[in-house]
Amino acid sequence: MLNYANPTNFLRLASVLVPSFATLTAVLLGAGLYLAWFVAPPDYQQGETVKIMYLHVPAAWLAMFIYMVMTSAALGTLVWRHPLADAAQKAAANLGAGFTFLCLVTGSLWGKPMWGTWWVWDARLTSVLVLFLIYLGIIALWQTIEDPGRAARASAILTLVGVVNIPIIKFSVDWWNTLHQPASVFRLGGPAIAGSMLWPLIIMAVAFTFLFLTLHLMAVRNEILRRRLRRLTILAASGETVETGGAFPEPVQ
Amino acid sequence: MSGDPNIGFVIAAYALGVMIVAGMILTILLDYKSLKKALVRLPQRRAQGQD
Repeated sequence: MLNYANPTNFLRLASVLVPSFATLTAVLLGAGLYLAWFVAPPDYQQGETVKIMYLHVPAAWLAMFIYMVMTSAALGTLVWRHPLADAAQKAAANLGAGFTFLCLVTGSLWGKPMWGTWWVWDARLTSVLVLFLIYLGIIALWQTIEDPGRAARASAILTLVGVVNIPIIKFSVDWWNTLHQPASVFRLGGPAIAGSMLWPLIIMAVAFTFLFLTLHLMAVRNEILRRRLRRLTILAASGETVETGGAFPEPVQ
Repeated sequence: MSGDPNIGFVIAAYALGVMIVAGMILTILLDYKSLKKALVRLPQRRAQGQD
């Protein structure tokens, strides 16, 4: 793990993992979409509208999973001062916002024909909207604080404060009466979905997870290059020799 | 499948899904391309500044 704190090692690892993960993502997405559209049966009550589930549930799973990745990265920044932790956190924020937005819009498009409304202020929907706003707040912090060290610390603190929302999202359907259905996959009594629908859902969830891992590796690589560029621009401005090959990222201050 | 009265909602959801995921991929790829270009240009700009 510490070996990959060296950005040059990380870039080398990313150059191997990105094409492998991208290929795996494409295969899994192809298989998942085929099963979802052509094999999985329509629901006896919802009809074909249930196909939105194969997009909505993986997006919802990633919305929370990415936040937990960011929480680990925030701890890495504040506690262990891992040199790539803040890059990982910054890179994940945009992806988290993207998948949470996808979860919200697909939920809305599912809710209109099933519930008769695009939106309702129930606990599950509202807590996911709060998660989306937290992601936007973290992105805004990174954009507005010029000093990367201060931006990393501020967004790490906001991330740790916001993690309280994750159990609220998860258990909102148990703690309050909500229009949103309770958990039907990850629950004590086992999944409540028929196997013909469960397997396409699991494959789509794994495909989305690999999609995130691929995009996250690529985005962390971009952050390393952005730091390298910033450092070299400062060096060039101060009149020192510019060597674009082996620059290290700025440490968290 | 096409006879389902709500199929429009399903197609809209998948179309939005493709747009959002494609948007994230494109943003990251374009960012990577511009960063690589800027890193290549940096020593050239430096050399031009010394002339």
